[in-house]
Amino acid sequence: MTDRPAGQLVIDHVSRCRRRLRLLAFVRHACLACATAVLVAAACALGLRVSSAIAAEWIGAGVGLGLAVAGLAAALRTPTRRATAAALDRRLHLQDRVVTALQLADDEDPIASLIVRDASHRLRAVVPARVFPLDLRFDWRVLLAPAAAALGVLLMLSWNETAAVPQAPAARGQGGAAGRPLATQPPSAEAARAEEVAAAPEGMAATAPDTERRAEPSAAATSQSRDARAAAANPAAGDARASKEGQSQRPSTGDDAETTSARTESTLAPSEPERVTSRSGGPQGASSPNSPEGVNAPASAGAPATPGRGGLAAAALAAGPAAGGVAGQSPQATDLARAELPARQPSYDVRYRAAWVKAQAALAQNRVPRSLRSYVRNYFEAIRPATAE
Amino acid sequence: MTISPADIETQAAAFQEGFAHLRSEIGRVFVGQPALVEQLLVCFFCQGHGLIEGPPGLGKTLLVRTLSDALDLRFSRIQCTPDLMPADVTGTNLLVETPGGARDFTFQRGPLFANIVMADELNRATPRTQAAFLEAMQERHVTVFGTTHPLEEPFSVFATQNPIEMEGTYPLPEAQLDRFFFKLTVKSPDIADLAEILDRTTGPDQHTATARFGADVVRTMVGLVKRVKVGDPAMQMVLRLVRATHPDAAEAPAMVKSYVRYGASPRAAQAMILAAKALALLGGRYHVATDDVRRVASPALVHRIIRNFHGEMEQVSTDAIVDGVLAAAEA
Repeated sequence: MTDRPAGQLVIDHVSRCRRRLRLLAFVRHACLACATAVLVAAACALGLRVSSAIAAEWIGAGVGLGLAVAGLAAALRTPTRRATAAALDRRLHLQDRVVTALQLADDEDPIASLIVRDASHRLRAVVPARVFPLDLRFDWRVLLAPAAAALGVLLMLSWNETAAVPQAPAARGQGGAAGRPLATQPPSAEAARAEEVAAAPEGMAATAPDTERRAEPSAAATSQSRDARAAAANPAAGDARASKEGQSQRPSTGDDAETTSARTESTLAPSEPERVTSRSGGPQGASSPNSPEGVNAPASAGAPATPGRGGLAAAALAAGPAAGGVAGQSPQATDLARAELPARQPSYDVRYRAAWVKAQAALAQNRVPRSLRSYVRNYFEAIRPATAE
Repeated sequence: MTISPADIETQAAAFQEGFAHLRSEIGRVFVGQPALVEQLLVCFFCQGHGLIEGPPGLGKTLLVRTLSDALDLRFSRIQCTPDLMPADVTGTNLLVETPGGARDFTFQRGPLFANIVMADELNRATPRTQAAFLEAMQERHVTVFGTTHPLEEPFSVFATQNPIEMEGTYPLPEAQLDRFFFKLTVKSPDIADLAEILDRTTGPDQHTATARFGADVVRTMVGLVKRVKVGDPAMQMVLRLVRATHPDAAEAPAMVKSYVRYGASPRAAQAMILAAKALALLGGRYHVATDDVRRVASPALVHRIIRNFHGEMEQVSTDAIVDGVLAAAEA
């Protein structure tokens, strides 16, 4: 007589426990493998000085790899049905009942059926999770070490990046007024800054030290920009210099020719064209009503465009960062400015063309003083990129 | 004839109850040493032969006689001496006169023709007489004048030997030692047991065991023991144990390699399996567990391990060797 249901019950119980053991093996292996992979990934990220984002990706990949390895190990090292039965016997002190019952599940002998029935009776109330609780075989707090190491590496890399970001604006002239990192500024920050300066009373918009501080690290300290700074710092000296060089084409309109000249020089100085532009255009008041296409559009944060000087400034401002980043008129400075341009901004050529179109429009509409028209043309010719026609 | 699981359960219950009864009855006469009593009963119900070793006066003969009385079986005792002849043990043909006046040889059965045979101080008998026991123990029959006479089942020989008086003895050869299922060692009683012995034996009341069972019941019980199943773990353990007693085996521990000349024979494995079956039945199981094997390993192996010169010189006991073998088999 064969007690098939009892035998099947034993097999089912053993199979359930086997699945439980496989899960435990997976968890155990996953902990070890993930911890190892995370440590290795963190060490590699730290050694190679990758960015925190890449480090996070590596650590994530390490965790994934650890899980995959754990799954493979658990699948390969899953205990056999017999080993599971032996483990059950050991845990429940069943004195080899389950192993023997499994062995005799198909035996026709009456003694075998008694053995199988006895085993199935004892296994009936067995819950695999209680018999085989989660046991990592090591202190789970050990896992905190690789987690803390990974977190520490991520924080360290992130802090390094945060500390390294302000160096870029510093290299370009100490950046914004508040010294904020360039990366934290919105794309129109410079325009906003121009708006602030424009709102300030004339003559107070920029002090000499401020101008110097901005112009100093612009690395493109060409002689012309130096002159512009000097003019900005000392309008009289700038005036004299402009007179001396015969470049002080005084505007036909305007209140103070020397100041205008100096401001124009400053405007065209590559280090901070937008600032000076705003300064010159701001106090002049309202935008030109006959400004058809918004010459000052790039500075649309509010910097008013005016005919005359304001128009020239607007043209220079339209060139915006392109002109400002050119660092004078030397090709090396232009390259440097290109290198400093954030990757997400339009290329220098595109921006040059846009600025040149606007400048041409301003010239065509006689918004640029006659005495300065050639200067504007020369300026754009000087900063013309090699690829532009 | 097919037997149902219910019948087996009934027989198993009777076995357990009978075993407990025997223990109790023997305990009424023989004081203490429950492990020895259990091993003796296991040995008998496995139809093995026991070698009981111990100093004189510890009740070896009393123990075997009480077993026979409690089982209601035929018992005979042979006091072995150097002048004991094989015919004195097996029996012989006698020339007798028939009622018709003719003369004929008639086989006169010796003391071996009993259910339980007590061979007292077997090592004092000559090797020739010891050999007469050999055939009876192994083949369960005796041959006299070319005629084979089967021995009645159940049949067990319990031999005793005195380990301290070796002068004038004939130590049992290895081949004969191997025939013994178990070697049972009788230990000196402790204070409480000694007091109980004195109380029972010096008073007016004579304690005796109540006879029960009979040969048929015993045969049924023996048959039930043999039906018990052996699982793989127990079988593997027995195999590892036996292999580990051989000095040339890879499984042998260092102690065996150093101090053992010959290891256990397959009879040792048979003895362990059978004895473990009896213990399993006593435990209410129908299969042998490794724990059962562990319990019977020592009495089954201790007399089958032959020490080498170094072992004897360093007085390494076979019990210690068996312990080492057990540890190696479980590792």
